[in-house]
Amino acid sequence: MTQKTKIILADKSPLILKGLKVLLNDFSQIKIIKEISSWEATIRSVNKNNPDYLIFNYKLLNNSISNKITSNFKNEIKLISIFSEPIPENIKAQCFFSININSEEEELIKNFKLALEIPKITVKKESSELSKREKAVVRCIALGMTNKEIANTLFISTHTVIAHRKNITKKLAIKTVSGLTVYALLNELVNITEIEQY
Amino acid sequence: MLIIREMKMVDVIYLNYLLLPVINRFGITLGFGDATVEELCKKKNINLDFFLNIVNAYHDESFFPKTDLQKFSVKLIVNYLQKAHKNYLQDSVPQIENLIQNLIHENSYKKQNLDILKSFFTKYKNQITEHINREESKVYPYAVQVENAYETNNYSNDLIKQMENYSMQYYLNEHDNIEEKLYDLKNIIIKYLPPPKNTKISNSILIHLFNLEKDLNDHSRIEEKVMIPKVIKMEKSILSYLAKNK
Repeated sequence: MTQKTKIILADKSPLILKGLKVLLNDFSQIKIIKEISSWEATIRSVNKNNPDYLIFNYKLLNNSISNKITSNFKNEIKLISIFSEPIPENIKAQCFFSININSEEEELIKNFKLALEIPKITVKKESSELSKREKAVVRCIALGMTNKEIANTLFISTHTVIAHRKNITKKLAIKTVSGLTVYALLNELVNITEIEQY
Repeated sequence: MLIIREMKMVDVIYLNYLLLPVINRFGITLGFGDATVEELCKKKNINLDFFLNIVNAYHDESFFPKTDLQKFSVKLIVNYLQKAHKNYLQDSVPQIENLIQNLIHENSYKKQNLDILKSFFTKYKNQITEHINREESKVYPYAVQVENAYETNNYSNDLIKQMENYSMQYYLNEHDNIEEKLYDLKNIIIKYLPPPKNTKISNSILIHLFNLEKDLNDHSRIEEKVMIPKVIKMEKSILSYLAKNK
């Protein structure tokens, strides 16, 4: 189960939100985490949930806040604006993509796929193969080491250990220490005799 | 599609058969003919509103009317959660355990892998059992006590001390994620274990795991977004009342 792309939808109209949801649900690699109908709620939700993309109707903004939209958000996010009337240039310039929702279905799908960077053939871009370093970290985890101990053993900082662990979880879709230990055993990164609990 | 009181229960099951264990927890069993949700709830003395809210929360991920759900009494909510706990400990977990035993009987994987699998699941079983026991013996009774105190304006010194030392807020922060090991187990079986000799058993285990994980996720949502905030509100109210009237 590779991580899905997280998306928040924002539009005043519940009908548009529902329509977008139906259209986008056909893309299996994405997950729509929230549907929102006000700009204030959108800002709160984006900052709370950290989606990868925000698909929003630019009309939710009023003039006073349309200058640096991304300054509202704590973390990096790609903005996709939907419009049915021509979209103002200054907003279009701030968006990763803008999509005219009055297009034909085929055109809509094509544009959303482009906007959400969904490849035509689902080829896994990121390798789910662990790097040498990551394998070393998994082995350490299986041996029961703390982050600090791992850092000392591999001569890296604890920050780096944590970053490695995040990537490992993302690549393998395994979250717990026991799960990683099983993975390590199955892939001979560690021997069963080295682990006390088994 | 939301479930409404006029729907026939049989149609609810056709809509989503995964709701079967959920309706069982309310005491509704199979063989209900053409009865509607409303009729069955009336017959079995079930709070219709509560029933509809719970089944819809399980049926539709986007349905979660926090404020509506919080209007139900803690006792009612806890009562439902306890029935779910019983299901997990007496049905779901043993079912999976049995299937793993079958894997072992059939030597479906090589011995070392079978040992690892069994050991992993035993760890999970212990974790969920401990989690549930803690909730049943401490958290739930406390929640009900707080509600009683809030409603009767009757606060014992013991309860007050408990509220000051161990507010629900603390429990919320601690609420460990018991679904994580399940998530890992699924992926281990699907991706990393070599092909089993008997695919049917592994498939069956996976289906149970998917179902249990979903059930637990919905269960946690009710605990974290409904019951706990409600109790915290009551705690705050009681403590502030006491502070004013010292």
